Amino acid sequence: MNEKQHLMHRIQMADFALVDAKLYLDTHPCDMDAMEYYREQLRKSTMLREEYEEQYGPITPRGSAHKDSWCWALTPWPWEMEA
Amino acid sequence: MWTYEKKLQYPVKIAKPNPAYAKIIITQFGGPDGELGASMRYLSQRFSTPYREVAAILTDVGTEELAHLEIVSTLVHQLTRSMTPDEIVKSGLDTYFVDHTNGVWPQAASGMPFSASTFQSTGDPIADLFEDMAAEQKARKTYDNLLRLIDDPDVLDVIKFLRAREVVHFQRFGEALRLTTDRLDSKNFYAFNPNFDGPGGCK
Repeated sequence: MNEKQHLMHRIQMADFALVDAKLYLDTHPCDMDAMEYYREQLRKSTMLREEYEEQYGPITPRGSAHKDSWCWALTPWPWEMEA
Repeated sequence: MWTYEKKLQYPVKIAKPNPAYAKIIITQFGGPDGELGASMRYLSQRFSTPYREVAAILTDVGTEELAHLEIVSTLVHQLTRSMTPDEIVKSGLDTYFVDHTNGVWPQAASGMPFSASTFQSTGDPIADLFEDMAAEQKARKTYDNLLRLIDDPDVLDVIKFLRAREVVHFQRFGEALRLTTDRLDSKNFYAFNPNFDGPGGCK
């Protein structure tokens, strides 16, 4: 696993925590401990995503806005072996 | 509305192509208990619950199923790369290949095309949520059967992740059902549609 894949892996872990906490919060919307956990994972994910988009390319189309070209269309797609 | 993120929910990197595995895994894309049907089921049903938490779980599980559909499609895509005609025939994928080459198309392992008739949107949140819990168990069953038939750690790792999510979704739908039934009139427990008839029962 190269450095880019390693960073993506960390994003996938933080984002998975967000997905799982979100489903729990949907049926327990007043659980304050779960809300705090969500906020903590969100901070982690946001930081890692900024680092990834700066170094390797956009995760969402908006991540291309400040670059010289529309990298969104040029970087590998998630199903490619080189992604 | 939705936005796309250029990432998979769970990493897929299959070192060794295997068209025979692709032939059975594709059933979790377009088969009777697959991710496409799961996603369409929940995203269709969410309009007919009077309870916002239930609409939330249907929206968010339905969205997660779209991410799973992409994971399953990626498995099929990577397992069918650089195949020789000889390998295609020996694997049994030849009947798929003749129509789709190595394109990804939603069908069951048997070749049956994806059909909306594999799921319901009844307009009755109780009937829908019971179906949703059954659907998660049926998908878990298919992943169990894939685990029995597959012997490649790269593929097994991904299938185990998808299987675990079915178990979590089952739990959340159970809670959504409870949130719904807790608001019913005790005299009419299970006996009417809280979306159409209102929480007080049939008028």
